[in-house]
Amino acid sequence: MNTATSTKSDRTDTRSESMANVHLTANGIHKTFGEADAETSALRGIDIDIDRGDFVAIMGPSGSGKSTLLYCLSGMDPVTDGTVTLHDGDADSVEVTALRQRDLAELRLTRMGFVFQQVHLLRNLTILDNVVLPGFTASPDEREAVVARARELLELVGIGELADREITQASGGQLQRAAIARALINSPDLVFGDEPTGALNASMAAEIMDLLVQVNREGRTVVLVTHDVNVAARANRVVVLRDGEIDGDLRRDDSQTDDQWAESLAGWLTSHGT
Amino acid sequence: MTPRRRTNDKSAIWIRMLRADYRRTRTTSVVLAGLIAMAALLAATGGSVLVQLTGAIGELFTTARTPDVVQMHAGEIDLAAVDAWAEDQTELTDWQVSETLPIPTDQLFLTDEPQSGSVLQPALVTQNQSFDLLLDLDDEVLVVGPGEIAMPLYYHQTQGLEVGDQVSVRLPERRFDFTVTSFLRDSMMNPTFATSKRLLVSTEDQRAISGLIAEPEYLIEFLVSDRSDTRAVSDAYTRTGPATNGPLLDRGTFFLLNAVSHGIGIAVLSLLAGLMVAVAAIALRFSFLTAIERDTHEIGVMKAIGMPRKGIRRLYLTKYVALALIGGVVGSLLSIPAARVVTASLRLQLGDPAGSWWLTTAPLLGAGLVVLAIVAWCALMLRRLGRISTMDALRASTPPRRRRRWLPTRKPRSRLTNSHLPAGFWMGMNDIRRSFRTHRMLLAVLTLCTFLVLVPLNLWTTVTSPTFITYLGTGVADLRLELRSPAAVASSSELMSALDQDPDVARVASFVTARFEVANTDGEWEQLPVETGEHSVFPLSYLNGTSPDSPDEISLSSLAADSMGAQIGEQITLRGETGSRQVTVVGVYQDMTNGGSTAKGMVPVDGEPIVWRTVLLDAADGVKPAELAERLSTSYPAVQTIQMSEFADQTLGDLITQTGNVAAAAALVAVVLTALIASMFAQMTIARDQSQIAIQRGLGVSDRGIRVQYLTRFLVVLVAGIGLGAVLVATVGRSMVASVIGSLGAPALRFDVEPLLAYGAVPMALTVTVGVAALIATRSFDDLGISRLNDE
Repeated sequence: MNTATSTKSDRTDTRSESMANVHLTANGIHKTFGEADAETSALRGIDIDIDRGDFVAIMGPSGSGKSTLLYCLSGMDPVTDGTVTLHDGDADSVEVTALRQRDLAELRLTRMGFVFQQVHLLRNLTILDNVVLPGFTASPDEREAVVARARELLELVGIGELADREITQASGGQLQRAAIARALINSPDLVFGDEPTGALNASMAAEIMDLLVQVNREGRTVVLVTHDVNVAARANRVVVLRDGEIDGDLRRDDSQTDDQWAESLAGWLTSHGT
Repeated sequence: MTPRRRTNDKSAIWIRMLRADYRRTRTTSVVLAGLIAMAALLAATGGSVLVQLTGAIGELFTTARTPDVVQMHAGEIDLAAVDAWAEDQTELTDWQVSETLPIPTDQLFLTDEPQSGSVLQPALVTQNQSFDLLLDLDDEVLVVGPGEIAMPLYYHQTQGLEVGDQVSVRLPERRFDFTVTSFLRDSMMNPTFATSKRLLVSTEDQRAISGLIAEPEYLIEFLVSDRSDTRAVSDAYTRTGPATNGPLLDRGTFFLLNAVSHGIGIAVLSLLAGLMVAVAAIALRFSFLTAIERDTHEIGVMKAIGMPRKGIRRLYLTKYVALALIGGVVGSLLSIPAARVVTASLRLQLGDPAGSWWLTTAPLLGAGLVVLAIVAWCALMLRRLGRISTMDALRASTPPRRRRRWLPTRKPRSRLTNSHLPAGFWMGMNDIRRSFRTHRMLLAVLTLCTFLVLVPLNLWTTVTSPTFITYLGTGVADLRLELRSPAAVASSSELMSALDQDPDVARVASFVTARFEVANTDGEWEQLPVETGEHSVFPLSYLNGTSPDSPDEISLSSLAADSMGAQIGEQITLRGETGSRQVTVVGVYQDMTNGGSTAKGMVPVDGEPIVWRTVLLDAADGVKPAELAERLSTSYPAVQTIQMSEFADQTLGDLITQTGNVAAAAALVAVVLTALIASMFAQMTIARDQSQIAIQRGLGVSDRGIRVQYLTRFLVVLVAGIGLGAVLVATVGRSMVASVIGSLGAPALRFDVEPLLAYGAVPMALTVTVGVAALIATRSFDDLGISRLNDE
């Protein structure tokens, strides 16, 4: 099987061999919820490097900690222990877990994009306004450029004609496309998705995944959480979590065709009980 | 399981759910219970004061045997004629004539302090034998010996006079010294604004002084067997009584005079109680909406498992009934000491009321009404629960709002994309526009608060403004000289010629006020003090018409004109001691002095009863009015010299002080109210918007950016509220004040607004309050992360 794999017993393989291309690094992340007497561990020492331009799918059974990992990696949830570092090419790295709320917000606004299972669009804004809001917030002096880019992105995701509609006047799939356009408005180089196709039917899910693949091909790193093997098959790396720990990590070989990759992934996931 | 057991289990669940709810909303619950307690406290105290007041007046009138009809008379009296008249009246059970010796204020000294600046009219009297008794503070009939004096409580309350202090009457011929042995309750002249005050001395002292007082006055007093005949006796005396040089008053008037001075307190308490109920209702609504936003999911679960709507309603209603009851009980208990404090002055002036079951039930009734109003309001609010569908609730979406059917679906007009406003500011404005229903309650509260501060404040700046003199029925001059004592009257011509030649005096005019009678709209004769003199020297500002120019013309105060139904150009009959004459009404002016019913004329007053004489004068250029006043006071000690700037204070001091107190209290209440409602509103909107906040935080909008949105929402609504409030003040507020002040004689009162205070300091104070409340409520969004939103 032409795949690079790692298992729980060989965790160091989840780390990138060349740090030069690493985009995001997690070191010993722990996350616990609840009070001391009723504490639940969601993540138990996660170490992972994510390469620039990678498309990583995080999978695992319910309660395995995959969404928690995504939120810890993006700085939305504070970690209990460990560090997350965002590497910026030749520039200095940023330790996400050491940032103050204000700086974290700035980081998410300018360098990260998010797509959620629930579309989480703001109810009092039109579709176009929802897309431009993060752009206006990040670049208040470049409004015309932001609007032009928002319209361009809406065309790109195929809902240009819906720009001026209320969010109550569009379907779930259309709203998820709007959410992708919003995620890309500030041209982030890292896009997170938390089950972005979870609330969509199969054909809509496929269309959304096409878009995310396209986003990845443009050079952006994509990290998404999914239950769906078909979604995971669009990634080039799949990490399986179990009980808050990495249970497996499979990377697609460049020589594999889509079918070969899908087949080997299915077998690998079965062997990991996913 | 027996039915009994099942009921117990159910109650236990309710109690557990209530406790859990209380733990979650401890602060809000305490604030709500506190508000209800405050409303109940005010209502209970109001009820208590009302019952104590009416009880105490009744008790005082019974013990003092207050007369049913009293004719005041100045001048000579034929006692035999009074007896003869009274014996002819079958309705009378008793009558008496009581001599009073008016002491000019400059001749009365309290612990060596002359009373010359006072507007009171003190008079020495002796104790009556059978009725109209002056009582001590234990409600016992007072007896004083030679050299002793019992002073009205007024002097104790306002001037700090104590038992044992010295009071002296320093007549030109002789000085009389007295020791204060007691303070007295006077059922007729107790109220602070009754200017006549009776000072009780022994018969011996009275006799000694009597010979030295030129013009004793008399109280001709009657008791009737059936009180329904009081009016008939009054009318009969006015028509045929032998000594009528003075006003005629009856028991009802004395009751009102006593009640009004304390009744204002009851009215204020009732108003405040009503306001607090409104505030509690608004706060409850915000708390309820917050709970609904927060509990929508739980409500969905309860509905999904089949709990009847009635049961869910009861769960919420139980909580609010519990809060209302706790508030009601606490308020009622607190009202016991509060009522004692509030009624301290009342009990001192009027004595303790006789025990009655009303004393206990009235406060409970007041508090009970508050609790009932709150519970009814809650029951009304809880209808909203029925509008939450199970599925909506389970999806934790907000309750569906009623759509206005008459509005067609349309594209949103305002867009962030097209706007040039900063994003946060636009978002705040958009939220107001898109959920105006939510914001209108806040708008209403802020409008109300602005109104609440500005009306009393503007009234206060009006009554303290130099132009307030316009409403006191006098022309604008530097000084006003009042000649009330016989000594002063005797020196009037000498005074006038001296003033005419005084180089420090620029202009001077003298006026004589004589008492006439005119017919009111019911055809009854009413007394009317008519001021005659050169009105053109210090012209009044007239509502309509002009000043009288000849003996056949008269100008009326607006209350007098209303009472007579007289219009400009109409003729009225002026009845005096020397006969009647027809005069034409040529002007109407505003006057809040002397009960508001006065007139200005040029009619001859020889032979008519003179009430008082006044002189108005302007100081010459370069002469300070204060220095001139000082000099005139020294040269003419019998004459009361008042600077016009102090005239309003002297005549309406109580009103001005009370207005100042009300303005300060209203400002405090408004600020507390604004802070309370703004923070509760912030809590509610944040509970409602938690998903929207979480989304924005997830996208990278900073907490500061989100806070800007909320501050925008609050401050824009505040600015609108202040604007609306100011408009209401200028329209409704002005009319409200005009109707109250109008009843005192100034129907066309205009607010004299102090712009820096009204439109600078007040908006600033409200803005800071709202801003701080909003900032505190939005100080941390830490719990509102998108990861948590996805967990739900």
